[in-house]
Amino acid sequence: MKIFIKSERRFIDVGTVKNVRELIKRLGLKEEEVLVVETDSKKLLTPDEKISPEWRIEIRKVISGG
Amino acid sequence: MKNQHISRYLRQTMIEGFDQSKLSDARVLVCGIGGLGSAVTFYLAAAGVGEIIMVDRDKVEETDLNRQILHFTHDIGRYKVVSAYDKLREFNPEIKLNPIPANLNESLLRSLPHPDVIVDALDNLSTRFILNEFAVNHNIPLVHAAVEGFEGRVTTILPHRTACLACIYQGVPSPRTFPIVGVTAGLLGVIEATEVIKLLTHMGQLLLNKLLFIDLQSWDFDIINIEADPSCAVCGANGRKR
Repeated sequence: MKIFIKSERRFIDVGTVKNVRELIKRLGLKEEEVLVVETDSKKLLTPDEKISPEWRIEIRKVISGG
Repeated sequence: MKNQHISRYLRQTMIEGFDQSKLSDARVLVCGIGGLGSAVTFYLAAAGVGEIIMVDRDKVEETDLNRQILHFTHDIGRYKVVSAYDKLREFNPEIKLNPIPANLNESLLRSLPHPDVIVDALDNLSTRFILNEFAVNHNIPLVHAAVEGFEGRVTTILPHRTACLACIYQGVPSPRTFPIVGVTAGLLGVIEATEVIKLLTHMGQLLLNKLLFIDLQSWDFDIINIEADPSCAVCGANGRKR
């Protein structure tokens, strides 16, 4: 499964993942640092959400400045 | 409304359906008077919001001056809320300004007069979570924005009707000094002020259950759909009610 890392504008192949939490872990990221979006529906996914193999997924970083 | 007030707000009251009294009767709490807060308070004052409460514990530093447009060189070392008060008082003497140079926590929030809307112009997620919980528990609309570099995010939260910050963000990232250009904070602050004006005057569509992403380098503006999490620790069925 290819994941689009928005901030780096590149794709990473992560193989098969069951849910969002596993995906974030596979990418070596922390749940509090990223937002995971299903590209076609433009829907924000929660960590427990199951990932369908046909989905296109992108990772966006959490920002918190003001 | 006095004649001078009618003249000051004439160009916005020319918009069909625009009710100036909805703004002049409103009290807005702006948390953080930095990059976002400078733009938010400036435009809320311009629009004639009746009372603006400003909370920020920080004093102006030289490194703030690339983006925090209410603070000038001679304000370095002064409380941001006092610096902002001076500018906004002169800009619109007809509105009530309430500057509070204090740390934002639940105790302080409870002590303030009840606002009609809260604006999150803070610079960290841990304080945002405190503000989010207060807004949800007291059923007060919360307009949220965050910025970094050339990027920004905005959403408007109506407690128990939309996703809250705890539905969106899964925790607090490690604190760090974030890079930022002034225009990013300015634009996102203006968008927050726009949401407040629309919310108070019941005009247009709000960013409800929508997280607007803005990238000023690529000119990407896109909206991500968000949903309230039924298991959310703050706004879910078993949320922390106080």
